[in-house]
Amino acid sequence: MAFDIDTFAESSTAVAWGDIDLDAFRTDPLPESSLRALRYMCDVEYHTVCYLRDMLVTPSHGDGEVSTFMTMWNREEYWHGEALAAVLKVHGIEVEYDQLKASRIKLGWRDRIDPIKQAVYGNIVGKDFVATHMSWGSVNERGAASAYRRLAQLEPHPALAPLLKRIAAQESRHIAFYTTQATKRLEESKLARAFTRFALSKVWGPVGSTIEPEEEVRFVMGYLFDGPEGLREVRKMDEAIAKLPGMQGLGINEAAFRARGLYADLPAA
Amino acid sequence: MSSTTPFDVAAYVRAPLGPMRETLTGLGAALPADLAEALRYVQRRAQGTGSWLSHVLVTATHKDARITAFLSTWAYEHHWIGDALSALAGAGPVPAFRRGVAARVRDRFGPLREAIVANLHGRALTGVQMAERLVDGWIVDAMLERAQQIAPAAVAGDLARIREGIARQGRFFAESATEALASSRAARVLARRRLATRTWPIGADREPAAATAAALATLFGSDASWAAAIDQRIDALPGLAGLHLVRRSARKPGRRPVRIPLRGTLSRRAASAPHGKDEAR
Repeated sequence: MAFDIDTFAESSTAVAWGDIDLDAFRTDPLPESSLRALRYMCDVEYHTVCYLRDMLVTPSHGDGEVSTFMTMWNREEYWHGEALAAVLKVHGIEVEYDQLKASRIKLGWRDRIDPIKQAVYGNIVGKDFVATHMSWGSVNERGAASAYRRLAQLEPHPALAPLLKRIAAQESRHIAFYTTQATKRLEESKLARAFTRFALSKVWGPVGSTIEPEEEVRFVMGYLFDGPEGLREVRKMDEAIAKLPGMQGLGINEAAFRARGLYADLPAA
Repeated sequence: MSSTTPFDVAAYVRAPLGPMRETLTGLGAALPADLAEALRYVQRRAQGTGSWLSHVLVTATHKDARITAFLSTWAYEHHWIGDALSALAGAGPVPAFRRGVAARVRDRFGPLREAIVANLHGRALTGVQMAERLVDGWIVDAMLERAQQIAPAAVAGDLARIREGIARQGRFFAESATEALASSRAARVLARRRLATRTWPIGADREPAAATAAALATLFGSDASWAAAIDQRIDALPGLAGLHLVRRSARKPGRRPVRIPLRGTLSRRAASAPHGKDEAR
């Protein structure tokens, strides 16, 4: 499947919510658990610029298509954060620049070391690291799109579900880009396949797990993906990842969720 | 820079310059070959923001959500400014450039080095980065202003629109740079050192020096008044008086300035009293 970067760039827009009646939340507010999940998602979306940072220190930014994509992707994700912040605001939860700054400062040394680690990996692996970066992005965007769709199912509020579906639709375009790039680059290099498999199976964690407290990760993953239906969705994600060249048999999502106590009563694949 | 109303980042991110091809009036207008080449030079600078961003986001600057919100939109605008310039100038060859070993090492290890150094300098680097982009915006604007004067009217109108976008970005950088430099001696010392030792405009070191020289010669000929005017604006920034860096760049376009022994000591002295006061550490 070819991905046309020019078409993507030209049609890249900030997600719109002006036509959605957010005041509906005033008479019919979301429950605490959904707000908690939304807050997590909002933080992750706003944090995209930090993921961008980690990628920019690798050879990825030297590629024209990748660079154009990251510019558009970063802005779209920022607006996902803004849209979710608008929903939270109606519920009295303010997400301001100063709070985001405070939460980034709170990450401390881990946040300072991350770009150094990425740059070191990028220098050791060289150009093939772009394949890892693209595969990682594919996995994360798939996780994000799936989370939005799940929340829209669990919380079919007339003002929330349409917004989440719009965000998920943009995430699907991101999946297409990352997956197309990852597939091509993994096919071309044995080192890329080996390093990517190592990185995904040993280092990867669910979206947000590097910036949110573990308690929040467990809550949100459990809220969105627990039970047989959640497991079905998680396995769908893993099946898609396993289709990437050299990634056969990986079940990283299910493993990460089981490690957090989910599906204890459901048999492993 | 004297405006008291803070730059409205929320308004800026809501209404950025986006794709412009459909509304360009000068599309297809014949341009002299050297002017088209100069516009392509500016286009490459506009669409080459990734390298600069890679150095900026590894520093404490990335923690400031207001700045990162701005930069996300700024990078988006630069992509489309580059796209519009590319449409106006038409296709042309990208100058072949074989980077030397030192430059390739810098490319590869630059962000890594910056990520480590950033932990030592902390927030002082934010002031430096904002000043860098402010100065770069002034240089690019001077280039486009001159291009506007010599281009056919239809193209000149498009360039004016692009310059408005760059001027709006400049207001943010001016506010942020002035604030950071005025409140930190470390930022002023570092800014003097870094601004004086880099190639201008930003990204010129990723081209043969001849490409920068050709673009400046096409636009300004032997006239250096544009560079002197920008140097005057730099002089007005807290602690940055007397750098003369744009005139120096205009004299030796595309070349990295030579490191001068004792510059660090001189920088510290010159940076100690912005406009006669040193109000914060």
